[in-house]
This record gives sequence, C-alpha cells and structure tokens, in this order.
Amino acid sequence: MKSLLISLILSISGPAVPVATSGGYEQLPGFPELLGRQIETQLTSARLPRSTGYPVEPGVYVTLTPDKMYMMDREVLALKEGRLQDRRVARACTSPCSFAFYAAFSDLWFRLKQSAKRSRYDHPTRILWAVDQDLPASTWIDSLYSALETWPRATPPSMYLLANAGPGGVRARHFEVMPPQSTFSAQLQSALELRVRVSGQERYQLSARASDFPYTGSVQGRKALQAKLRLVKQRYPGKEVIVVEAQKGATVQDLAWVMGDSLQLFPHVIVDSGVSPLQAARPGDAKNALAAQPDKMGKGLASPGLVYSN
Amino acid sequence: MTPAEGSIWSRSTYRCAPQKIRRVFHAFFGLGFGLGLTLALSACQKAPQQGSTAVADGEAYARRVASSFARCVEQSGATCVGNSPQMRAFDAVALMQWMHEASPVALLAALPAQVRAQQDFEGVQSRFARFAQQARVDMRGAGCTGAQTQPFPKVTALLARSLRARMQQLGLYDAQISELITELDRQAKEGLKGGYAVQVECSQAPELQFMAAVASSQGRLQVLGMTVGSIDAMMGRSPKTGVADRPPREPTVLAQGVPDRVHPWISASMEAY
Repeated sequence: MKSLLISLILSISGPAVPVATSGGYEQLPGFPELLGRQIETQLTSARLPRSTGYPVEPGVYVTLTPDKMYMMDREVLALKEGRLQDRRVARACTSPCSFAFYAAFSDLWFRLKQSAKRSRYDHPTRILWAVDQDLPASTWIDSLYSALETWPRATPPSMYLLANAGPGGVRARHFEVMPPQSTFSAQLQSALELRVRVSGQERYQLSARASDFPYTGSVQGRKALQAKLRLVKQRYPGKEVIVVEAQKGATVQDLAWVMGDSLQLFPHVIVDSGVSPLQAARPGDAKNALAAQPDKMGKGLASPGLVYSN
Repeated sequence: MTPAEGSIWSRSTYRCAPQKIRRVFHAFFGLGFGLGLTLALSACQKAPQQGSTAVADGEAYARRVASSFARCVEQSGATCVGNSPQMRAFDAVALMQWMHEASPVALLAALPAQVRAQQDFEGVQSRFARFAQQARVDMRGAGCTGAQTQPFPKVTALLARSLRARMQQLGLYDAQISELITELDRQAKEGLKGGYAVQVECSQAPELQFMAAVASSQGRLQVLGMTVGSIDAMMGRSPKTGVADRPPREPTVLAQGVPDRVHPWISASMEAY
C-alpha cells in the first residue's frame, strides 16, 4: 500500500511552485492551461472583452456571464441578463453592494482561509476577473465592491481584468477600485485625478481635479480619446493614475477599451462606479441625495458614490 | 469492540470467548464434569450492560466523545492529541477534503507535497497537535459541542465521488489522480471502520465549524483527527455559510492615516495620483 502511494507521489508531476519568470511575471506550470479550459467552459474566450494587457499570473478567478457567476470551478449565483435578481443590499457593505455578491465572496474567502490551514498557497493575493464583454459595468463593479469589502486581509488583493488580445491570447490588465462614499482628505490637494467617464457607444467625458487642466470635455471615439490621453501625459508626465468611471449604459467592454488604451500612459487604472445599480434602485434615499449634489470642484457632476469634501 | 460495531456477544448479559468455549467442550468429555464446569464459568464473564440500545446510541456516544474532546482542546490544546496509528486514515479524509476545497493554484502547487506529508505519521500527528493548539484560541468560550453525525463510509464515499467530479471539472482528472482518490478512500474506510464524522458546532461562534473523526482505536472510542469544515460540504451538499448581515461601517476617509497611499484599496502613491 505504501509503495503504491509512493509511486503515485512520484507519478504526479513534481512540485509546481510558482516562480517568477525573467519578465518578472509569476508563472505556475499548468495554470494557464487550467484557466484556459475553465474560461472556455464557463464563458468562452471569444466573450472576454477585447483589449490588451500583460501575461496572466496565477490567482483566484471569478467568472461573470450574463446568467451565472462562477468562483473558480464552482457556480455560485444565477444572474438574469447580466443582473442579479436578488436586490437585497448588504448592510455591512459601505459601498453599497448586493447581499448575494457579499455572501458569495464572504463564503469564498472563508473557505480559502480554512484550506490555507493546510497549504499556504490558499492565501490568495490575486483575483482574475473573466467577465462577459456585454455585462453591464455596474454589475461587475458591484461584485468588485463585494470582493473588497469582504476581503479578510489587511493588504488588498491585486485585481486583473482578463482580456482577449486576439493572437496574443488571454491577457490581464491590472486595476484597482475606487472606494465609494469616501472623502478625500486635504492631503490630496495636488492630485490630478484624471477621470474618464465612460458612457458606452465610445462616448467619453474627460475631466480632472487640477484647476489648470485644459482637456475637460466630451470625447467621441476611441481614437480621439487616445490622442487626448497622450496630450495629458505630455503635460503631466509624473502622473500615472487614471480613474475610469462607468456611467449608465456602459458595458465591461467599454471600460476594457479605456483600460487597454491607457496601458502604457497611465499604468494605474482605478475603476469607479458612476451609477450604482443599488442606488439607482432606491430613489430618494440619503445616498442618492448625495449623488445629486454638484461637484464642489466645479468639474461637472460628482460621482454618485463619492463625496468630495475639501 | 465498540458499541457501534455491535455483536451477538454484546447483546447477552454474559460474554463468552469462542476459543474458551471450544476448550470447555473438550474438557467436559476429556477431563470430567467438575473441571469442565470450572472452565465454563471462567470462559463466560459478566459483560457490561450494552445491548441493542448501545448499538443504536453509537452516534450519540460519538457526539459525546467529540464534545468531550472539544472541551479538552479548549482547555489544554495540543495535549489532547493522542498517538493512534489510525490518525493517518483520518489524514486521508482531511487530504481529500482539502483537494475538494482548495483553489486550483494550491492544487497545482502543493498536491504532491500534501500527498507526501500524509505518508508521514509523525508529521500527521504534529499537524493535528498544531491544529489543536490553534483551535484552542478559537474554541475558548465558544461553546463547541458535537452535533450532526454521519457514519464514515458514507462520508468518504460521497466525498470521493464529489472530489472526482471536481477534478474532472478542473481538467485535472487522470489515471494518477483517480488512483490517488481510490487509495485515500480505501485508507480512510479501513482505518475509520465503524467510526463517525461528527460536526462540532460552536453556539457562541456560529462561523466556526469543525469536523471530528471519532472511531475505535486501542480499544476505545477516541477522536483521531479534527479539521475545519462542514460535513455537508464534504458530502457535496450546500453548507451553512454563516454570513451575517451586519450593520454598516462608517464611510472611509481617503488618505487618512495612510502616509503615502491614497487609500488601502489603492496602491498608487499620492504623487502618481
């Protein structure tokens, strides 16, 4: 019996420890194939948003299709036309986020924490999002808030949107998430806070917090936006952050275009929710009242989920 | 013999050893009535009162053993861990449970090491001791007691089936993995024969769930291992999540208390922003 198990140990391919490649990207033998199979099964790579990015590193993956949500290989939630049917809000979530997403992520982190008692590799540090290109951006951002609000560790996870880069295969674009209902302190007086509001149909609104920003205004078409972003980078070469704000009607593909187009110019992408589906569902409540207030900086409408107070 | 195993001998008031009965038979015909009677009395001794009720109460007994172990861990941590060789059988179940719950990254990176670790008895024992020592902190004052009980063959059979389905889903199922699951299942069934998986629930901390393996070892029922997790999840059912809808926290203030960062969620420095 012992010899059988020892032969099994030897026959299972040797320890596949994640290692950093020469490009600085962590690779785990077998993971790209596994992820590829899962994407094809759950979503198909053709449904990933078309964009660019960097090599995919191993991590926990979450798949959102118009009718299902998977956490790794497990189907956890049902959606209808890219939206949750359960409209309950998680009270513990300041974002706010849907209770269904909140409960699903709480459960995922709890399970992984338990598994991690046996193997340290179950302490996830990356979340890879495989999202249908036509999914409403608001649904995706709702799930992002839940993932972060339930995150059990002090250091937040690195998050990546998986994109179909054509011949380049599946690539990953790193992004971060703007916490909603937050207040900037005076420390950020010098921030440029370049912001692109994405409305779908390649309609964009460019703005920034800096008083001398000369490119504020509407932009039509991706090419025009790329040109504008190049000009902004020339004027503010030290700034590396771009806030991509989803407006009503924007899809994940719309956000992915901007995230990909800004890859070289502004490596730090921060995704922000323009219209929270939950706030939209509760007209007249306190949060919506905040959303209706004009931006005190005078740069167009304030993000409904974010309050500026300086 | 455990009450769970049951036996025709345990149902009578007197328990007689079969080999002694054979000796009595020969004594009656070979040595005479007097010696035969003496041997007959020595062969059959008064057995403790068990019977069919004890067989039916095997699960309740296992729950009590698990509760008692939980109390011991709460007070004494690692010192409650014994040294039964059957601990490896429990570790086979724990390994299958880990393979069932772990992320694909962990499976790819750590499975061979985990299989190797399951072979090492001292390693298994010290892991259980470490677990008990850590669980001591979580269990203190949590009111943990044995609750739901399932016989082990049923748990391991369903766990093995569910695990095969998961490996197929992940595209990791091949002849080696199939053999590994079969072997772990066999080890678990042999080592934990007649035993129970007992869910240990904590009334003061509902999110804490432990599974204790209670089986007969060295002549008595004892806890051969304990792991975090729910028996329902191991058997492929939906476990209780324990997610409570708590009241909201105060809204975050960006950059407050974070010297160089805009917000804990955001890694960009303020200059880059």
